[in-house]
Amino acid sequence: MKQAPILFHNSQMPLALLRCLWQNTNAMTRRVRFIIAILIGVALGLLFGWVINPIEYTQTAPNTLRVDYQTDYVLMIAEAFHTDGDMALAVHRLAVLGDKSPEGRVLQAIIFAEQAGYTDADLDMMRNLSDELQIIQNVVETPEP
Amino acid sequence: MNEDERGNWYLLTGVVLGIMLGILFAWVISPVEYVDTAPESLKDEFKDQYRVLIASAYVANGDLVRAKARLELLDEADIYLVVAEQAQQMLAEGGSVEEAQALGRLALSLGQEIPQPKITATAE
Repeated sequence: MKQAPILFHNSQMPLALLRCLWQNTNAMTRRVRFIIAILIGVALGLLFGWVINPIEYTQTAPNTLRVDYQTDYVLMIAEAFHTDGDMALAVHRLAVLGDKSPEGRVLQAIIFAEQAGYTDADLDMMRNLSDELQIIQNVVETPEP
Repeated sequence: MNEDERGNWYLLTGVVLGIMLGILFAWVISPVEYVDTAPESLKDEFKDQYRVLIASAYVANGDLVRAKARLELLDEADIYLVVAEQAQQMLAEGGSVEEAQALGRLALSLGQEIPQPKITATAE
């Protein structure tokens, strides 16, 4: 049985490929070499665009915040609500955290806070806000007789 | 023309073309998405909202250490100055009085923490 020739040792592969591209050392056609050159360029371009110099977002919105920051954001809303009792303001503030419903946002924050070991006082405030939101939701959903 | 006579510059053209395509893909078609950002990267108007929220929470819990820790997330040089200025600006622009008062209270508490220069009497 004829054994396939080993073209390059693994560690020398990139170097050998480049030499092969630049010199006419094998039967690779000009078109194939051109395509390989483009692919190398694409790889370099992606490396530059994704790793070396990715687009930096400096004008972000609260909905892109990391979950722990979002949880603290919800906690601040709950703390403020605990004092002012202004549900409309709390809902307005929760709205900047994304498309999810205010109740969903608070519940998600409570789940994270429980896992992260927030104090009982903090959890109670968030639960209180969640309960109040639930009451309002039920009132809205209950059809009038 | 013979293949060798045409040279190998087409390879460089290919690489340059590829780099352009790669950057186009990385920056325009599928840019890196930031979904886990920190408060310091927030847009200015959202930073203002964040400060108002910190102040409102501070009024509720009176925890200055927590308020300071939260303000530090916004990565600003002088948190006292920023909060005080926002309170004044909010009042000047006819914003919410309650929120301006909360910011004012926080600024006052932060201001009291700034070490004052000691005045010592000198004997004549």
